[in-house]
Amino acid sequence: MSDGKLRKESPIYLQLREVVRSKIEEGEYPPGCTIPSENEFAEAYGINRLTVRNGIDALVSEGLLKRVQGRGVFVVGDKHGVDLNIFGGFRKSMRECHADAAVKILAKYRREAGSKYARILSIEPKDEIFFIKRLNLMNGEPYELEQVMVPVARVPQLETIDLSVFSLYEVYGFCGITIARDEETLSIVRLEAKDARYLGMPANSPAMTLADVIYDSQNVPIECSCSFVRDDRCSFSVSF
Amino acid sequence: MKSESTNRPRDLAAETIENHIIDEGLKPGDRLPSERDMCDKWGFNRATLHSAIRRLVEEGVLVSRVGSGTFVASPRPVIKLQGAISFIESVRAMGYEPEARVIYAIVTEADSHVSKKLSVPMGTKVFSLCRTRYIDGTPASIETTFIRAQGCPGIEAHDFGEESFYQVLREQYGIALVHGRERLSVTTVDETEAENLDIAEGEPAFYQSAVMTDESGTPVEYFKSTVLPQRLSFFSERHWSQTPGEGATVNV
Repeated sequence: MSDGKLRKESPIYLQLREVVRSKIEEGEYPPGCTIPSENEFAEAYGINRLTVRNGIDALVSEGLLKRVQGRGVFVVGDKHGVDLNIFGGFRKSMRECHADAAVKILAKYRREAGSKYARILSIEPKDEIFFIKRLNLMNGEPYELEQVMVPVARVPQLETIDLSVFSLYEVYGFCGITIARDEETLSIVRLEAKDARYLGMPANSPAMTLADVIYDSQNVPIECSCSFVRDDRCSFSVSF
Repeated sequence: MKSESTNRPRDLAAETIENHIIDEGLKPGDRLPSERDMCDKWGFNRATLHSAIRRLVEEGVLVSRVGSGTFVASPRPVIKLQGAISFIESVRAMGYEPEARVIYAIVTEADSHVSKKLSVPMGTKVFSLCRTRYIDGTPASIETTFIRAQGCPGIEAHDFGEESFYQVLREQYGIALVHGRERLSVTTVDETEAENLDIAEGEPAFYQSAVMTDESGTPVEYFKSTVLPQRLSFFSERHWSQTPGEGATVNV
C-alpha cells in the first residue's frame, strides 16, 4: 500500500496530484466546487499543461474529481461516511443524510425458509419467509445490493405493501415492532457477473459483504439480510 | 424494472450446501460429499457448484483443500468493531492461539501522511512498529503503527513479538488510548504483503485504519492494518435507543 510519499525527484504530475489532493482534504477546494483551470495551474506552478492534465486525470480516475464537459473539473469530495454506531443503522443513515437516495426492488416473493434461514430467524425450516432483493442507490448510482429475509408470520403486512414507497423500517413500525438491536458481520466476497453488473462493477470484483440480523425488543429476530456494498461509494467507520 | 422471480443458481447452490450442513449435523472439519455427488444429488452443473463453494469459502463457511476435498470450516475469529478488545483477547476468546512477529520496530521521521494523522509537523520523531499477526500459526494480518517517540523514550528496545504494545504504553509510559475512529475498506494485497501473509498478490483484503486518542482527544497513535478476510472477520453490534421508521424512501 502506498502512503502517497513524495520526494522532490518524483514526477511533476505526481507532485501536482498530491498538491491538489491535500487541498481537497484540507477543504481549500470544497466538494461541489470547481478547481482552477489547467492554464491557471500551469501558470501558478510554472509547469506544462499536459503535466497538469495527467495529475488531474489521476484524481478523476480515483473518483475524487469529476470532469464535466465544458464546465470544468469538480470536487467530488469524501466518500459518504457511514457510522456503524449511528442510531437507525447503516442503510437508514445513508438515506437520512442524502435526499437523493432511492431503492429499486428487484424481487419480492414468498418461499420456504429452509434450514439455514430457519436457524438464523428462529423459525421452522418449513415456515415461509418473504425474500426481497433490492438495489439501493445514491444520486442515481447504485452502492448496495441487498437480499432481505423476513418471516411471513412476524410481518404479514409485507404482502401488500409497496416497498418502493415505504421502507422496511416503516413497515415494522406499522406492525408495532420495535427494533432494538442488530448484529453485523463483515466479509469480502467476489461478485458474480450479474450481481456485479447491478452495482456497475466488473465481474469478480471483491465487495464488502455485510451479514445482518435485526432483533426486536423481545430479542426475536425480525429480518436477516446479506448485502454487497461498493466501498468506493460509501465507507465504513466506527467511533469509540 | 427487471424482476427476479426465483433464487439464482449460485445462491441456490450455496444455500443448499449450508442447509445440508445443518440438516446432517456436520461439524467443523467434516468433509462434504464429492463435487460430482453434490451435482448429481441436487442437479447443479459443475460451474455453478464451483462458484457456490468459492463464495462459501470466502464467507468462512467452508475450506477447500486441493486434492482432498471440501470441509466445514471452524468459525473464523471475529474482531468486534466497537470497544477496545485487543486482537489477542478476541482471538483467544474464540479458542485460537494468537502470535505476532515483528517485521520492523524503528524510530523514524513522520512523513506528510503520518504527520497529518498524528497532527504533528512533518519530520517529528515517531516510533513505527510493523508486525505480522498469526492465528494458530497462519498469517492473518499485517499491522503498522505510528506513535510519537517523545512520549515513550526507549520503546524500541521492547520485543513486541512477545509483549503487548498497548500494555507497554499503559504500564511503562502511562499512555492510555481510550478513543478512536476506525475506518474499514477493501484493498488488494501488494507484493510485500503477499509474501508476509503467504497468499497470492492481488487477493482482496480488509484495509483497517484508525487514529487513537488519549482522554483529552489528542491523537496519539495511528495504525493501519491489512487483514485477510478468510482468516478474520469484523463484527459490529448496535443497540437502537429509539423507534426507527421515519426514514423516507424515494422511488426511482
